[in-house]
Amino acid sequence: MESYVQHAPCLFFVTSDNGTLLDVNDYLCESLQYSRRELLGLKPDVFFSVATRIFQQTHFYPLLKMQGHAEEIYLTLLTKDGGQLPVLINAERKVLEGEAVNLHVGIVVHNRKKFEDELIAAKKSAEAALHENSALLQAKQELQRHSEELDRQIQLVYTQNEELKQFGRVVTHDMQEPLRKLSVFADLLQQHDRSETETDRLMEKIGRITQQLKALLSGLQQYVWLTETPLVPSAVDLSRLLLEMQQQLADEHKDVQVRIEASTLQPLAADLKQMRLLFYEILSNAIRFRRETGKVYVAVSAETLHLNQFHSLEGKYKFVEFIRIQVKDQGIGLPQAYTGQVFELFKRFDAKSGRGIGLSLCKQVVNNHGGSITLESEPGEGTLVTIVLPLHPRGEEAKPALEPPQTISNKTSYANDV
Amino acid sequence: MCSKTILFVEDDEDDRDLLSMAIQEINASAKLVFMENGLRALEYLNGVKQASQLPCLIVLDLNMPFLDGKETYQKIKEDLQLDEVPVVIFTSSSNPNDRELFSRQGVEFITKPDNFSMMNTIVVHMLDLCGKHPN
Repeated sequence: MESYVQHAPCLFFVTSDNGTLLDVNDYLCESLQYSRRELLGLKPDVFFSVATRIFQQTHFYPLLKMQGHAEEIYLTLLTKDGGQLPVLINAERKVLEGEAVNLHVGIVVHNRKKFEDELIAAKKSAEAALHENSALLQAKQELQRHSEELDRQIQLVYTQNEELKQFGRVVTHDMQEPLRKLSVFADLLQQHDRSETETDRLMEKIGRITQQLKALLSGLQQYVWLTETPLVPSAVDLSRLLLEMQQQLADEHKDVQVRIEASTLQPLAADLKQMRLLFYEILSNAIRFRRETGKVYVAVSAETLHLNQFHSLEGKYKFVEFIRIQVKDQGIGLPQAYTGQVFELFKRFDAKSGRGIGLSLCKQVVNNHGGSITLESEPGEGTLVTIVLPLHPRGEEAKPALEPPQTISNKTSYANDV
Repeated sequence: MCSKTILFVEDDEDDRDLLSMAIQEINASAKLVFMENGLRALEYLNGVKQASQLPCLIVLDLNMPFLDGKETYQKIKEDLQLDEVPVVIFTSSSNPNDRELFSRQGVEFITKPDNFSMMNTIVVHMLDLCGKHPN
């Protein structure tokens, strides 16, 4: 058995309690390039590296003395010619023949060291890759955010430029016109040879023009309010809003029978005041441009769709949820060629036209919400207004701002009884 | 070629009224035809041109629904027969770009006055322009 131990493929050595080598096997001698005779009586320091020596004195032997055994201790041994031999040592302290001895068995672990190094290197490179990847993702997100902001700014510049042109026209024409007329009619009044009927007619004109001017200014004020007041988004229940509008319009137009029929309408995150204004103006137009019958029927339908949020930047895409609301009336309609102009400030097409600002306000509301509004019409065919609004305001997609869609019956009718 | 008819293309009822009053005041024999926008004016012009009853002057407002003064003027220029009739722009627009645009084309640009005696002077001037093509 002893001879087997001499040749077993493991390093075996025995030390006394004072640290002197009492025995070594042949495999150890061969591995470390010493002869048995050279080693016996010496301390194992001879084949310990400096680090191993320190470790042996501070940890290994105190542990062995205290617990009687030590396992899987990783040490680097030195061969005679200075080479390094990584070994894994198990040791046990025994009292044999009345004397305490320390028995050590070591196996050479060249490959384990290699694997460990490889593992550490792999872990480091994985960490680096992860870091780089998250930096890249962050940069990508940042870029996306900047693109969205840029697109919003371009859109804003475009709209503001359009507004400026319109304001230019308002100042050079729409405001001048009533003032000039007032001046001419006042001038005519001052002429002494006017008959009483003539004077009454002129006074009536002056009164009417003054009212028009007042309406124009209040419309302009409302428009400026819409461009300046920041949005206060909340979950807007369109079905309820239409019901409110129905009642309000019925009160304002006692002689008209108004029926609004709405399909299931999903709530959306929007500014409630502005939504009220939007639907009030559209529905008022349906009443103003009604047929002679005295009955107004408006159908409101809605569907959600995914559209590109980018308006101005080419090749940029971010598909977000939009709601498309269509309001269809059966009124007198308007030639399709002029439907693009109806959103301009104070553009009036008919003696029935109101202040000429309603649809400009509507456009401003949908612009404020990052949406769009279009109008399709044919004389005698009624008018279809299509409003497209994002379901969530920009930058708030992640917020669970909305309650789940209300389950109302597929068709809801609101009708006032006349 | 023309009757002593002035075509007045104007969407504002008060302005149409003022022009009638001025014509009456100076006791002019000219007939006034009113059209409320460019579209209606072109319909009228195309109708009377067949019967060689074109007006002696077309007075165009600029801001009008459906077809504004600028667009109407372009349409008139495109028609050789209609182009024979002198055109005057009569507007409350004080936009210098509009003025510049028409003066470059030799079209008289008259700003609507803010007193009635000036209105009379302008109508006398318009009657004077009747049938006289500036080019």
